Amino acid sequence: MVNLRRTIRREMWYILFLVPGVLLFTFAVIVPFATGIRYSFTNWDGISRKLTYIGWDNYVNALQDPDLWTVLGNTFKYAIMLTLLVNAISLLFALLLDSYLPLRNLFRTIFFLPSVISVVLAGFIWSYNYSQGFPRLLSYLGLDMTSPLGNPDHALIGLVIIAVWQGVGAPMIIYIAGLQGIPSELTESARIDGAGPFRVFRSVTLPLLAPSVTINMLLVLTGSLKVFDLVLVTTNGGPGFATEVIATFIYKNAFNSYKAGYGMALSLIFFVILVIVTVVQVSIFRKREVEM
Amino acid sequence: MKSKRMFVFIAVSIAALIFLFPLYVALLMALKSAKQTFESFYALPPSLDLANFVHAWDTSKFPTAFLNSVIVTTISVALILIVSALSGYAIARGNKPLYSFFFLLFLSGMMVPFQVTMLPLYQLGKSLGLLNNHWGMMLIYGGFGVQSGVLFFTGFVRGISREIEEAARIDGCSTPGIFVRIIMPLLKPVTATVLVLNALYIWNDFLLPLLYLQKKEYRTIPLQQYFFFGQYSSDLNLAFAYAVMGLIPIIIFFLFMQRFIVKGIAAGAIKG
Amino acid sequence: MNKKLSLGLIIAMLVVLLAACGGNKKENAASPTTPASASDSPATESASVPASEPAEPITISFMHFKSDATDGIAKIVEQFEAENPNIKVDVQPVKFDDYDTLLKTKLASGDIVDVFTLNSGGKTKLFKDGGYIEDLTDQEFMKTFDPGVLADQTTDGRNYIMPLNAGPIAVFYNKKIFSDLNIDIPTTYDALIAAAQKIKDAGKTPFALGWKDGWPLGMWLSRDFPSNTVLVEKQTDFFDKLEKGQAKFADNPATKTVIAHALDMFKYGNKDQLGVDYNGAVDLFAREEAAMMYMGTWPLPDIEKKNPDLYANGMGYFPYPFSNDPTLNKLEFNPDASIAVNSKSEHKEAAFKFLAYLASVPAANTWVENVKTLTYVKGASTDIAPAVTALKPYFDNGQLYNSQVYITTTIDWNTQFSQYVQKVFFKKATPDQIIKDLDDWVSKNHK
Repeated sequence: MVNLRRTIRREMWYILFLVPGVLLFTFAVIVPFATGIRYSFTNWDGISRKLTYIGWDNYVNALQDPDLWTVLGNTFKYAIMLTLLVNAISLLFALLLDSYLPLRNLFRTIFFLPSVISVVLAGFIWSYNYSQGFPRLLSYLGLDMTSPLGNPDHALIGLVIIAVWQGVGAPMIIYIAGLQGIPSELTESARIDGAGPFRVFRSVTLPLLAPSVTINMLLVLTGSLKVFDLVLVTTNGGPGFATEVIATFIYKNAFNSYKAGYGMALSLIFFVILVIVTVVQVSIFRKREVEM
Repeated sequence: MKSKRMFVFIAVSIAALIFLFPLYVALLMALKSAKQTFESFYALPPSLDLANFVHAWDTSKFPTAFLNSVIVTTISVALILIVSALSGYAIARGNKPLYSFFFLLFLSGMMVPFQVTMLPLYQLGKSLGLLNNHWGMMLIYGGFGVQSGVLFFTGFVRGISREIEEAARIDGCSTPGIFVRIIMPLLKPVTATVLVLNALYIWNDFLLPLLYLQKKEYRTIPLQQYFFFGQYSSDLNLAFAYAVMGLIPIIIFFLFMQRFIVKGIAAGAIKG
Repeated sequence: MNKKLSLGLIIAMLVVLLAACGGNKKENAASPTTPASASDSPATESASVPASEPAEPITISFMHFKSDATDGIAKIVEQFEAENPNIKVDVQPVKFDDYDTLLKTKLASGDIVDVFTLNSGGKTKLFKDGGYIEDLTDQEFMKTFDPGVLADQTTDGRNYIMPLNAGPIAVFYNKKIFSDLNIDIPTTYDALIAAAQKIKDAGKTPFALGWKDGWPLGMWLSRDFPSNTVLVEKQTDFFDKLEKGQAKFADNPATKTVIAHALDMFKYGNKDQLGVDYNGAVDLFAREEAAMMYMGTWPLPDIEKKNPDLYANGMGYFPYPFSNDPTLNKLEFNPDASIAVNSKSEHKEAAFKFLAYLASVPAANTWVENVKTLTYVKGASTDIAPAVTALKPYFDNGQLYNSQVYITTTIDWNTQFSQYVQKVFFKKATPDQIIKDLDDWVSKNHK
């Protein structure tokens, strides 16, 4: 009886602990989200005062829209490239900087530096460098370069480069934290057993790092699927739609074409895609972690 | 061994230079006049001329914007840390379908694209009188940050063994007591991570201030930067000077925080 | 319970309170009677209010998309506030590319911007249909404008916006390059391209493009296309029908013409046509590497700063010859920013006063001098820059036209067209394909 009362009291505390988080979340996400859902069933243009409910029309039109599939393709291309590159590079940096290296704090700071810059600013600096800075530097070497952002074949890669530059800082910090959590006795003993550095990395370090990998993959992937301001300030979806991603596509539909209702429907489709991607990803990584 | 370390050092140095190059160009731009840039791009300015910085400082109300950024970032981050630590602990220890549901709810919240909530949020803020002051923004940032914050804290708390807690309970410690005395001191590493990630996001975010802060005296740095770029779109040098000025505080912040992170991260693997 | 947390919260609260006092230099909390408290007046020392003033001046908000003219507009506002000490104007300049979004967000959520800039045509109609803008037709200050200009800016027969500034959009050219190569000013499209070929052969860049930014290409497209549609192909109601779904781009020969023209521009443009932005293009022209640049008058202050010699006597300006019939190729002259008053404004009288001031000669002169565009205000100075004086005969003989009045649609086909044309540049699509895509896009947007 006493035990039961104690358990109930403990549960009460847990619920109480949850309340502020849920309240904040409700205000900032759930209520606006519900309102957004309501709009997605209307033909609201974003400015007039009248709403007409049109049922599922927006959704039907969206799924039949060939442009939606094009921009989804662009978005996934960008996100996959970025996720792999950012994780590979930030893990490499973390490994190099975790070992004893002169000036390693300075290096850490340098690699982290770009991620403290606002995207607006980074896009601004890089656009300028792509079209003026690098070509001039390379012309000293007798090389001819044009801005990748001005060519549909390279524009997406041009964006990925900027995003990598800006994106390795935070994952690197998380990896360093993860590496410092690995007891050095384990790697030491593996080394003593005659394992080479790669073997140690694969059999000891990486499995123990798995949680950090999961979190980084998840954060970078969902973040990069939602990419918006970088595209807006650097290419605005061009040239020739080569860098139009889902978020800018939604934005343009809602604001430039005066179809707020349709834009909301698109963003809800986008939401469903994001949820699926996340669930799939988490389950894959969880499984791997268990196996390890 | 020595030569290998040397090689690594050189490779890392080259990477660092590549990382710094775009910023070097920005600094170069900030230190030169339009005419000097126009005449030769990579030449160093003939003398150290801070005219652009002075002009940018005078025309942009930088101190006000800086103070606003500090206020919004500090309070939002504090809110996020407190709330996510509490919720994360409850979810990790509650461990029942109900709590898992909330965990998934926060997780799925991260998936909500800002485009969906942009207009409704603005209307909500308007009706609650939260526009044109910092409160509304702090609450929204809080709501956004709590999502990933809970994820981090839950994962971390799950990795802490329960034995100490159970022992404390037997000694008659209540749940809040356990949280404050036992859990909180252990949360340092994850706190540092959540703090840095959110502080950076909030410090640099500009879409939300753009929607919420119409009054000049409440503008944060990125918003001020944005208006400044718009006004001086043809004077890139001035724009770059303003940009560099906005960088300095955040670099100092990072240098300071880095020591704290490295120090604060104790042994104990992070369990995701 | 847990001291640490509550202490933290108290400290946080204190920080906010302190900051709230520290952040506002001049005022305590605004008194509850006025909804908006005056913000810092923009960089001014002269506008000190005498102590005998009635306590509360009213504040009107003014949002505009001429953000590159911020300083000039601040000067005008300063003069207005000096003349009307009990009105304050809170100015908010916004970059053109973001202006629409911000304005719509504010209006849709019931936030009242008293006075704001709008482009005439489709956008104005949209705001009028939404019931956001005041009918200005019978206002006294509207009578100072030319009836022809007002007629061009009507929406459903009434004037909802006041014309403010305007300017030619034409081709800047480098006099030295032209005379070195014996090129006469082209009056037909073919002559323009022949000149471009000559310049290219001489190793110079014919056109400075700056198409990394969306608007320079969009600006060219949204002028070449309606001009060819209405004046060459005589399809006067094309845009009306397009809106109603009765016309197709495929049935309009001008569509093909424009795509061919765009390919010419791309071919004779600077290298990295879509990687160099507007500033880069102005640089190319100012550095005398490019011979021509299709543009409005706004780069003039920038060119003056970078290359004073060129600005003073090395550059000229000629109408863009969109067709091969010289009699059609008049000078394109467009209104730029027009001003609207919010129908929900609580200070309409003050807003009208502000508009009346903008329509006065001193304000217009300040405008011309600082922003380097012309204004519609009669009797204002027309002295923008040496290069623009070459256009005087066109003004004197009334050889002007405004292609923007032909565009009556509210659909933004222009952005779409720009993107599709870029596909053609890089051989990602054929002209026929993109014409079909355009028609599909229009029908998709107008179900």
